[in-house]
Amino acid sequence: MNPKVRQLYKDLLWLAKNYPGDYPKIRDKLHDGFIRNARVSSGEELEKCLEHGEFIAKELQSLYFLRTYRAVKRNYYD
Amino acid sequence: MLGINGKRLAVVALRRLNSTLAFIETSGSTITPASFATLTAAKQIGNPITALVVGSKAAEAATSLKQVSALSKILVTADGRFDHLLPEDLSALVVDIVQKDSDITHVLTPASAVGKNFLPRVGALLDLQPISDITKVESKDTFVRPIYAGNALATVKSKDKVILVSIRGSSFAPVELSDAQEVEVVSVKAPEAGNKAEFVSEELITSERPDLGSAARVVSGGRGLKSKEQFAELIEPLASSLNAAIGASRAAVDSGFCDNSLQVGQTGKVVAPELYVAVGISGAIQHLAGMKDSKTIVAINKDEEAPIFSVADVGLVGDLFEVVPELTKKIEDSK
Repeated sequence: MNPKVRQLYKDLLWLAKNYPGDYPKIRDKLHDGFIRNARVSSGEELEKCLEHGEFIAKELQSLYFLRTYRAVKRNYYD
Repeated sequence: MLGINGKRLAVVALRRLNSTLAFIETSGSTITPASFATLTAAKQIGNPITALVVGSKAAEAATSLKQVSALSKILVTADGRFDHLLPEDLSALVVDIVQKDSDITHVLTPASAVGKNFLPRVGALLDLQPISDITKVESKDTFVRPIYAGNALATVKSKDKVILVSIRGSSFAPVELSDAQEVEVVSVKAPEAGNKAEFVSEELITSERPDLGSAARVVSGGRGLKSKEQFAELIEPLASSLNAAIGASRAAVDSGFCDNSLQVGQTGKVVAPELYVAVGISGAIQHLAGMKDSKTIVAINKDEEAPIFSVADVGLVGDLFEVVPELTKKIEDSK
């Protein structure tokens, strides 16, 4: 397995822990997504998939940032 | 001794000279809510405030402006050329006023379509750096404004002789009104702007609903509503029952469910209501950036894993075609 893919999977799995809803379900979904693209092993297609995965990771990070922002605002400012 | 006295005199004189020019946006003779918020910001700066009203009905607007206690002067340009607030004419007028009146140290405008249009022109013509969309006045020359789509706040200090600022309407409370007072009204003649643009026509969405940018309650619809008809059928009754403004996500606007003036988000309007109801919106981060300062966020979505639920205070997972009419009915019944 490409180390970049493995790292991306680990990153997303870590981020998924904070996602609202059922963690095992989200984990399975994430796993499914990776299995679906298992045949992609190299080249431009792999780059594209990695980029998409990183995009999702960034979206999740900003989402959590926003949640923290709202919690801080509610507790200290409102 | 004389020298010291001279210096003191100069300081006193300089202090007296400071004043703030606040542009008051009107539609017809009514003053927009964002303009009242601008006056609040002008009050916080602390200098005497000169208000500027333009358009053929400017005199009527000036009469209602007299209810604002903090004003020291009202400039009126009653010229039909300004009825549609074309930025070419407006920037020439503001530049003219600022150049003739050396007392003016601040120029304020609402960060509305009009303000965003003319303030950069004024900045270019006077070689000044405008500070756009501020959310807080720290001191006379220091302001807070959101950057990176509201993910960070920048505190900016201006060294310009004349500070140009546009005010985010939802971040300042409207100025308090009292009984009408005597305020000096000065008529200002507009300079020849050499404006080559001409107003042709406008298509306005008329609505009796509160203004989206400053509403206390907002109901927003997204792609989950599936069609323009269903957007109208579900969102409008719910908004009416809550006396709320209607908003939409970018997905809904792009799919043609509603007009793009209703778009809430990074590229649309930034809202901060007491109550924000998101119907059929999954919650792209760009949309969330436009409503993150709402006090209470209610999300209605069929997908329980939608990102919006992670920021929502109250979430309802269900088919919105069933739950929204039910919700509307319950609100109506409880009245």
